[in-house]
Amino acid sequence: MSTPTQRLAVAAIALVTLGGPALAADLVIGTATEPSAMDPLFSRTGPNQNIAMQIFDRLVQPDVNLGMHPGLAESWTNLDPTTWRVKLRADARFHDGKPVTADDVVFSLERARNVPNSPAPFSNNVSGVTGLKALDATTLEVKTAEPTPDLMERIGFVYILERAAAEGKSLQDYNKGDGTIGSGPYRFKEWVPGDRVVLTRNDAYWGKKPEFDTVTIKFISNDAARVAALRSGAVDLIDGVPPADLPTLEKTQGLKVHTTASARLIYLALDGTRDESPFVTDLAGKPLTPNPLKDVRVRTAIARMINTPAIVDRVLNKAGVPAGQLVPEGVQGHDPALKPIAFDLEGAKKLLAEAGYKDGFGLTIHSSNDRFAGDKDIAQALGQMLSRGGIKVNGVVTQPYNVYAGAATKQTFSAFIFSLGNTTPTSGPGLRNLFMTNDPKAGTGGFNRTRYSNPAFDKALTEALSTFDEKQRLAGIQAATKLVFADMPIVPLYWQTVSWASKANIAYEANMSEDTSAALASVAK
Amino acid sequence: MTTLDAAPRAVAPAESDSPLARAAAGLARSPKAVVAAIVCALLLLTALVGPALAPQNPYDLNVLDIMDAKLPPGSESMAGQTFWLGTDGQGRDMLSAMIYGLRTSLFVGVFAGVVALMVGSALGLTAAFLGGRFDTIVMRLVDLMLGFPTLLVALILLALLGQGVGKVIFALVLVQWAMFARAVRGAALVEKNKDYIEAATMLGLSRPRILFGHLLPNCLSPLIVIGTLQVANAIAAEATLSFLGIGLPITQPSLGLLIANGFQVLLSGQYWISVYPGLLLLTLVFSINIVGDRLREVLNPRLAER
Repeated sequence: MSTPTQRLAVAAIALVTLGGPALAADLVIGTATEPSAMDPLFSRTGPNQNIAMQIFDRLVQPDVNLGMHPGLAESWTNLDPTTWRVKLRADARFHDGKPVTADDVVFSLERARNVPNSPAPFSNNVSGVTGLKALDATTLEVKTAEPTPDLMERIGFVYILERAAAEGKSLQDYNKGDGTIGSGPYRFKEWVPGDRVVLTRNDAYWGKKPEFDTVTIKFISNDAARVAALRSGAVDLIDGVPPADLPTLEKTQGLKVHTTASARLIYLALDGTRDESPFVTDLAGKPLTPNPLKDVRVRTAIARMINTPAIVDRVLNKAGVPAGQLVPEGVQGHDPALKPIAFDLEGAKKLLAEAGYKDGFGLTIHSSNDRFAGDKDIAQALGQMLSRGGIKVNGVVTQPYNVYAGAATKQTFSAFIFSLGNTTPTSGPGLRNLFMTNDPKAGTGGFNRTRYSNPAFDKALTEALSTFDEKQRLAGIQAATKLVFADMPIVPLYWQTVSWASKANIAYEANMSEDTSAALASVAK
Repeated sequence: MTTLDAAPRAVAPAESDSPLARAAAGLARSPKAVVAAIVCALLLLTALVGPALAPQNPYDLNVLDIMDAKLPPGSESMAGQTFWLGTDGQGRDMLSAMIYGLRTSLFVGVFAGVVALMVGSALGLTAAFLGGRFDTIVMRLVDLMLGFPTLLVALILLALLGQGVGKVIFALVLVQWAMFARAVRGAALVEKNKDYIEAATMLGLSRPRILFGHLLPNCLSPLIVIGTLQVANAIAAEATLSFLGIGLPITQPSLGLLIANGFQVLLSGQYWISVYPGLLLLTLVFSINIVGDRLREVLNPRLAER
């Protein structure tokens, strides 16, 4: 027996539940990391690009498997080895209604060269470009110093601003929305630092129609709090799902998990270039010269002490793939012959003894604690393994990424955990940024925090990257990859497996570049 | 209720009626407080002999094995050792980690509490005795310190100083001394006009001797109470700071850090990493607070039993 009130209540509940998907015109995303600025060219770190890619377009658009498709550029042709012609699409409009012109592209690419105080500049993307000319409203001519077959992999990933709106604007102006005018699927509404970014739908978008009226991106850095926000319904979609929570979330009714293998490499960088390294000591804790990490045998020994499969299995709940090089299978430039370094404690000890460090030496391991899943746990696990391998681990220190990244770039540490997200179809740009001699003028080695420098590698990679024949180019990239990993300037650990979780009525395109964007979300059919 | 004037008061330091003796006697009359005091004593003892008691040294990276990570209570390790309370994400035996964590928490709490007590009461006594400009400066400083939320000040300090046991203690002392200074000054202001102080002054005793030999013993009652409660506060504050990730180094987890580590996986079913250290911290702070409350009842003349 039920009273009319009860029946009414049941009906109301049914209506709300069934009506849910149809009403999902707004999207609330809970994201782990906050951007440092709204200027899309300020920093190419993931958190910044996640916001930028929703407001701004690029010349090319990556797909979820790092494939490259036309974006603002409709087509591009190579007139001679150093001259390119890029044709822009005519129907793209900025949020203020003005058409996207070749002049805006020239402005944006020029601007990418020099953004003051940028912690991770886009300058690498335009470093080889010597001439930029707008031939007409939709045609652009690009001249390069060297033959650059992968030009579009470089300039293609720079966000395009409107010259009239952005010229002369300061960082603060962008943060307030002044100049933050792109041609992307969503418009910038506001940024409340520490809390949220709000975007609204761009009805005039040239591509796939954006699905949500309003997108609110909330910054919830605490893993447990982010998961709780999804469970309680406060947000529709979260990124950076902690591996430990995956089994329960998958079983929870009303929730969905979206998982993919990512091309982000987590690695242990070793300061193998300086004679004295700040966190290398002798067994008594005094500074040790010469720096043992300069010896490739020591670096290889460290690599062999690390049981990566165990880390992936126990610390990451299997959310990773052990790595022996920069990019995973499926990204061009991957060399199937380069296997993950095998765990071999005895071999490691032998190598250490050969190098003259039979009793080991002291080392402090540094890591971020909020950049990627499990970073501080991995640092401690490495502490265990290195300690077993015969190295006296003086400490494991973790810091927030915003503090840590700057310090690591300034060579503050000796052995430190870092990651590199590969977002291009080939490993070329990644290799160039991570391993080529650090030379800000030439735009190489921008992320080379160990200051590794090997002329043979530099030459091999430069030659490979200027080869137009695709097969030869990839073979060249693979050969260069072999060269660099024989030197072990970094110890590759694993490629992440990344997950998003959403309410069941939201679909999400899990992607290898780890982008969290409303443009990749949709109402589930 | 008796009025303040009618309340019996110690006129001069008297051995038979010292606050400590009264405290002990008063404590013994409440069964609740006796139980709490025994728990406190047991925990203190555990902390003192900890390393001998713990099955594993959880701070030694060499004995940890991530292959033993996140095992539920009662599991056996690869080496055949039983983890009665399970292991954390690094393969630390939770029981050992808690014993060591208790050591750290108690050490930090007691040490910070005692140093803050010494600094605070010295300043408070001197301020009350000297009066004038020194008094004004110290008390405005106290107002300033008490005006800021404790945790906020500690957070900022640690953000500037970095991690480490010494730094945490320093931060806790800095945020706690003001409580002691204010309480001691209040008590000393009442005492300093009494005859025995006047007599001591007439006798030509030195200032330090009057301050610490005569005035201080008569201001002990509020100090004992606040001291006890502040130790509990310091333990809780250290746990909070570690929980927020800026207290102690991650390789040497205190109770707060253990709770923080487990909190991340609480909803994924690995309750033991967070719950057991949480219970231990709760028991510790709770029993110290009960003892402190009882001391307040005994030592405060207005609440004193006949």
